[in-house]
Amino acid sequence: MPAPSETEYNRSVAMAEAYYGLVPEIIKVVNKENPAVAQIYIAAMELMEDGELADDEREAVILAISRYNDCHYCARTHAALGYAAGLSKEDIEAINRGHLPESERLKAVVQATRLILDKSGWLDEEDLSQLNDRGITRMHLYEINALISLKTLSNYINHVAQTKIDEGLDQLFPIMAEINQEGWAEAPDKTNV
Amino acid sequence: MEKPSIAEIREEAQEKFGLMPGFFEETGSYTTAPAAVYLIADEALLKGVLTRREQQAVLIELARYHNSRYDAVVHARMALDAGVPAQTVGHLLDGEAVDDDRLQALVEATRLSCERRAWFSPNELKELRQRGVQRGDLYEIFAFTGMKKMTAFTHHISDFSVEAPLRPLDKRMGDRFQQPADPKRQRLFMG
Repeated sequence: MPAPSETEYNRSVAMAEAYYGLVPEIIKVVNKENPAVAQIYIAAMELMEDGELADDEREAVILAISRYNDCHYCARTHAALGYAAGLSKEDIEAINRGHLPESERLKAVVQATRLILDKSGWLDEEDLSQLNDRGITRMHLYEINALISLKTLSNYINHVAQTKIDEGLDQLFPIMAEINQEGWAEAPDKTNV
Repeated sequence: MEKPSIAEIREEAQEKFGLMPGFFEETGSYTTAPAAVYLIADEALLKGVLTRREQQAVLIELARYHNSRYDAVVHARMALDAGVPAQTVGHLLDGEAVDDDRLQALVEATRLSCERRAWFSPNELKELRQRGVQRGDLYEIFAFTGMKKMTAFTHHISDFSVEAPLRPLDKRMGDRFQQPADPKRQRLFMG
């Protein structure tokens, strides 16, 4: 198999630096092997920030998916990003333990995410009606599906690559030192696989 | 990166696929983000590490795994167009082994990724590597897995139609990939 082209590798690095201000570990591990995949992740995550979901809803969904897949890396990076997007420390701790956030709005978004994942999208009329009564529309469901797409990609990569947490995450996001991470997904070497 | 308008999605889809896919039409009525994500991924993976044939074999396995008739029809057509023999496409749709060792290894890697959510043991990774499935291949499989979860789950929710040019192939699918009578939740949280 030919090595990834230097041009594509450098393109991913430039995209990451422009979007994140640095090259996160997940981008480093993917870019070495398949720059196209690194570029999808960066471009699509940026695009989802411009979606219809509110910032805190989007991050709550991402944490719920990452908890579902037991992703140690996304649980922590999106704890930091989720806090910056308006999630409370308590909500982040709760979602990452498989529990629920406090507000009804975020609770509904997280429960919709888990329902879609648990039923592989086979929501029946009753599910849809109950979600709709709680303010979860097709827009929410379809953007949740798009986030499931992107987090499946990153969660699975992190399982295989055992991606290390980015150095300096605590300095960039001081809240990380205050968050209780007990009961969160652990890196693969600490988990029975 | 700004989210495109539905008109821009329609124009790009028409240029790329020659039609507006049902998935784009359905989601685009509510939000253009899913279609835009799909288009980004589709374009980027033209420069992926898997060949067109390999990509389509992986995508058929993902359609089969997620029980998505829409995706099965679309990717059966694209596999045929990419040069995968009709008999091989039939085997892939039915989850049967195929003669091509490389395709078979990729299909098994895809299935295992889905079943285990990519929690491979070191031995499984070693075995895949020995069969020629490298990290770059796996990462591309994961990208396709995400994309097909998005289209399959959306199709399960809304049951949008297969595009008109694909309906003859849809008919030939027979009763494959029907909705389960009583889909159960697989994994429950306290929430």
